[in-house]
Amino acid sequence: MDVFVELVFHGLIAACIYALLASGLVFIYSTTRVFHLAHGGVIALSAYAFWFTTSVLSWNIVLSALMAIVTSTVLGLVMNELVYEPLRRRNSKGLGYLIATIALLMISGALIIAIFGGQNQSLGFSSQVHVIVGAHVTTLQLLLMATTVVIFFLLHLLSTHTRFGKTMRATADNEVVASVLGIDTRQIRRLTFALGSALAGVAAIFYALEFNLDPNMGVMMAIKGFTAAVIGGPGSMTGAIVGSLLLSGVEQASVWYLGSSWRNAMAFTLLFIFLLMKPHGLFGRRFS
Amino acid sequence: MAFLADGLVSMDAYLIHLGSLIGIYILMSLSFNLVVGYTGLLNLGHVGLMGIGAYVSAILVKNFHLPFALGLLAAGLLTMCVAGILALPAKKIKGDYYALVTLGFLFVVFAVLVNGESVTRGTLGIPGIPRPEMFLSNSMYLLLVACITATTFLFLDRLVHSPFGRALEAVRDDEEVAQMLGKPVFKLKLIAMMISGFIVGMAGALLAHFVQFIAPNSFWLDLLVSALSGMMIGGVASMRGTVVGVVILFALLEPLRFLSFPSSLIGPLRLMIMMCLLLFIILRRPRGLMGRAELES
Repeated sequence: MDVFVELVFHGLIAACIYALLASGLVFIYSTTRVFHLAHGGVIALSAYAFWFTTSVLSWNIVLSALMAIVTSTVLGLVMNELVYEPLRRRNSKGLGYLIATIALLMISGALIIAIFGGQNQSLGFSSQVHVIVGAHVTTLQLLLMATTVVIFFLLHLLSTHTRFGKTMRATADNEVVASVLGIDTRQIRRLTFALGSALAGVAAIFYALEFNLDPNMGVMMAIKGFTAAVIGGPGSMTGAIVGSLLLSGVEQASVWYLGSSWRNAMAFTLLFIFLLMKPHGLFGRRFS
Repeated sequence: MAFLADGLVSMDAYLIHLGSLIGIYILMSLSFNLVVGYTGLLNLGHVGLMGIGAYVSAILVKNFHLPFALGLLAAGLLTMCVAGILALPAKKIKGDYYALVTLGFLFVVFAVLVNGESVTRGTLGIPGIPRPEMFLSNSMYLLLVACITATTFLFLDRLVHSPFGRALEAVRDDEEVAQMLGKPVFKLKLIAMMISGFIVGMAGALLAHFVQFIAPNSFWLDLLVSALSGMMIGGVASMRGTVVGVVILFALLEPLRFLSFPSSLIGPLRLMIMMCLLLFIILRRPRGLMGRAELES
């Protein structure tokens, strides 16, 4: 029974990381209609920036965390300005963005190996362990769960209760009408990328503190975030949460029944089944 | 392009080695272009299909001692069937969502190759894949690859200029109109996918017996972006362009080997140059050098 409770907590922690990943992806997709897979690369690069500043330059951890968020925000903005906006000016549709974002994802991985080397890295960070209903949970993991909940709450408030949220949704629904109504859609997309990528920085910090870093982690993060977002429906924040929980649940179940090596295989199979049977996800609207 | 040319002493040996690789990449990119460029299905699972072909032939020939020719044929046929199944979602799902489905397929293939340890040896990969006695030397193997590539090129070049090829392009340009004109849209997509699957399955088998070692990583995103780059440089919907594109890609990337960089940097450097090139083409010239269509007309 204890093992089961541990597994549930592990599942929740993984689900929080996936939800942070997917929230950025969904946030960006729902405004710009760009399926920003390179988000995984942004997270990987910022996680390495965090590791480098704390472990090698031995900066204060708060300063490093700021550095990670600045790195991710700048990377997201640069990708948007240099690649996605020019593509938009060319009237490119989904396929062009998809190839571009895969290219950016691969560049991120190559950059990590070129700058930080090909070895795995670890921060060796540890925090106090608590025992909650028989499961061992660290302060960091509790903080991660709390942060995830707060971030989703803030994102929800942002999109439903602010002017910025309204203009975001207007831009997503119909760019032409939005710009006729005087909304600077380009500026809205820029802000969306900045904010979505800042979320990537937060995800990167928690990931770096909790897990080992490896140069190919960007691809794995992109796939996991992508899976959670697709299961939930790529335009929906609620979907991102449910998708992350479902993904993590399936992963833990396959660890429990089949062994840990089947974790990714079952996750991918879940993704594939959803893409075939329910391509617009659980909470997705059909976009033409 | 992750296959390093270790232990090749002379320039001639290196070029012969490179020749076979270029031939195999051309096969991969030609079949990619048939589906992506001519039919308009962005099948990002293409290299997953190639992996299936490679593993089928490697396992049949190494573990079951089947003759090489049978392994090659089995790889082609089995991959063709899988490609047929992968074409089924194209009935309902279109455009970038089909690309996502096929990307999901690539992930599944990768996971199966990694986890099916009893058959595929997982991440360890399959070493020592035998070559047939007749083609033991690199130069004989180059001859074999060249023959198969040339035959495939001639076949595909004729195919795309036939009424069938024009029907495919009609499907790509406007599916509704093609449907209204009485073209069996889904059947055309299915046939294109199956032909492409047969060719790329064989390409995978040829690669497996050439480099004699395959692992799940050999058929992962690195290879996918190589296929994308080869096709996009040469030209969407142009068979001749594809050949030119792959040759240009190799001509740009191979000289990096001779620069005095630390070897750990060469891999990332190649990938970065290739990706910047791919981005440049998508942004500046989406039909490539000799292309006749854009991916999203």
